[in-house]
Amino acid sequence: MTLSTEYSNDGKQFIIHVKGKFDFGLVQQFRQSYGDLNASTDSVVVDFRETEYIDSCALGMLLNMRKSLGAGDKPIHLVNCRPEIRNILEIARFDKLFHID
Amino acid sequence: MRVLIVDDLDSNRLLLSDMVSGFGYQCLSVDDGESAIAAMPIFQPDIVLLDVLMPGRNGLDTAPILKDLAAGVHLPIIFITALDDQQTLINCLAAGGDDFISKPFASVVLEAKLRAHYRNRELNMSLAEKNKALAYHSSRVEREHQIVEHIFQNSLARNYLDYPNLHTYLSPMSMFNGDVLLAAPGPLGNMYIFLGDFTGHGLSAAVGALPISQTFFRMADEGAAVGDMVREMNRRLHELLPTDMFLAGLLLEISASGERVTYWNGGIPPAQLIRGNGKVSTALAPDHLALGIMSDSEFDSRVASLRVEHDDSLLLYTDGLIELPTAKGWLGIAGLQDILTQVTNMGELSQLVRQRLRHKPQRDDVSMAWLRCKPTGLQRDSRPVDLSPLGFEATFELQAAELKSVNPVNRIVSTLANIEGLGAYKSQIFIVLQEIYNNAVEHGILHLDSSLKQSSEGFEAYYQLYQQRLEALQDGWVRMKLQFQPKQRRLCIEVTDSGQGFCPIRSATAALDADTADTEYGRGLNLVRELSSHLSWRDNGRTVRCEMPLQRIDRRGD
Repeated sequence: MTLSTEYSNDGKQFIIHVKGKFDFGLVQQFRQSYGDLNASTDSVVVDFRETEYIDSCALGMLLNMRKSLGAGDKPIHLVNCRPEIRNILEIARFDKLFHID
Repeated sequence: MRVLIVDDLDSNRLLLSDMVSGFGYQCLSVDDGESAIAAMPIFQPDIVLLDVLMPGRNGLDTAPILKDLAAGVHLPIIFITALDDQQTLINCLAAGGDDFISKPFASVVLEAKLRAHYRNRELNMSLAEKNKALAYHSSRVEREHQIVEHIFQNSLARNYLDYPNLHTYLSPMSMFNGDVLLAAPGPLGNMYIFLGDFTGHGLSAAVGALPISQTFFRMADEGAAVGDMVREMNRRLHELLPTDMFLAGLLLEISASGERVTYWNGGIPPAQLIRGNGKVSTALAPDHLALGIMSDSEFDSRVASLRVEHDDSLLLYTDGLIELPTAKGWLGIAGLQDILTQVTNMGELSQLVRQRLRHKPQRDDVSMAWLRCKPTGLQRDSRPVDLSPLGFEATFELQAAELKSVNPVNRIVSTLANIEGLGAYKSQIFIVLQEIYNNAVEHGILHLDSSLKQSSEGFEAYYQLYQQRLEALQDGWVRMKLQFQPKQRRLCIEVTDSGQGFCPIRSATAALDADTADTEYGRGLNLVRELSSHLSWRDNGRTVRCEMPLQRIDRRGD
């Protein structure tokens, strides 16, 4: 399984882990993963620690998620990025829309 | 029982040796102090009957020497004396005598005395035996402790307690600490810290620290998620430990930026968050059961996170700290918070703790870790890696059947990643190759229109359409040519498709305008442009060529 999700202990944070490749193969699965969030969720975390590759489609998926969650109402954190992936996110200027850590 | 009789009077010796032999005991008779001393190592008496007045060395001088020769075991000495003056009796006792017998010798009394004193000697001998065994055991235990300590030191050799933003204090109650404090950097510039407190202390508690530290260091190297790490620790301890033993543990990961703390706390007292302005509050509450109790299927590995600022500190500690005795009972969390408003670093805090410890004995291990929430400064080295000196060129041609069934980008990148030095750039290579290949397939071969991707619904529809058209594909091909040029440190990628060609200028312009990152297409091309030193089209847009420098590209804005 390349995509897995969990809630934080207090239920306020929704965490998505993407393992290996984050590309167009995950379009549907990714959208479904956040389609039914708990009402108490106040932020979303995408944990990239196991993500080796991303492509522009993944960037599109992240933007769609942001839009679907109210474009900033629920902050989205992109965390634990490898330097190269972080580089890609920053080239795409995602640091303006997401909290990259 | 062996009885040594020392008397200068023949009649006394005869009488006494007859009596002693008559009781069934072995005896040896000598007639002066010197002979008695000489007989000691050979005869090894259990009791000595010693005359006080003898020519040469008298009984009072002989007694202490005989006692000394008794090899550390109590040797009862019964003085034979006709005298009943008190001073002589006192002198006899002072010289080490244990009892007296005087003439006329009463057989019953002599036998009773011999037995009573022999009992004492036997008791003393068994005590000496036990002392010897105890000394042997304690030296063995000490040796074994040394061995275990050695293993421990080796297993903790990697422990990064010197991490500059971490200050620790450990005060074990015994040689081995029931507390475990581990620190290790992750591959992403992140830092992991684990504080554990085993039930009990000493060797048995410390043994469990071995599997924990192994798991910790291995998974820290892998950059594992906090939840996965505690799950694995729990699984190992559940397997290994007896049911009445477990490990309260707090695992935290601080991100490279030093702003995000992710944690799992099972049974460790809540940490204290010390804000830059000196305000102290409780954080990282223990929401879970300790490690080693639950089976893997029951185990709850959910983590929580905390955002911190750059001048914040976190104090982690085991319950030994808040259970420190005070005048009113024990310190408690409120007492600790009170102390924390008065100190600014670990040195001051541990000094205060030591002061408190001086007054009353320590009951439990006390371990503390003071973590300053700053950027870790552990980011991986970004110097260019050495590349394989062998350049190569490879061409892949995919026909319709392969376009449908094979994702060439994955395969090519995983092959390239095995070449010396290229692995470090695999994410970069992947995205460039993927974008160029996808462009060729999506636009050149499948004639998909990127503008469809502008809405979220369209985004998905686009990829559905992509699937449909790909499945229906009859003709078409894509050719990918890779050139690895180690001298120039670059990888050239040339992709040609069988399509009609397209005008890349429109997308490229769109991409450049897309500085808000909100335009749904052209993003891929923009990424390629940023990651390559040269990007060009020819053949009416059917062939795209990209030269990719193999170096880490500076981030924008840095």
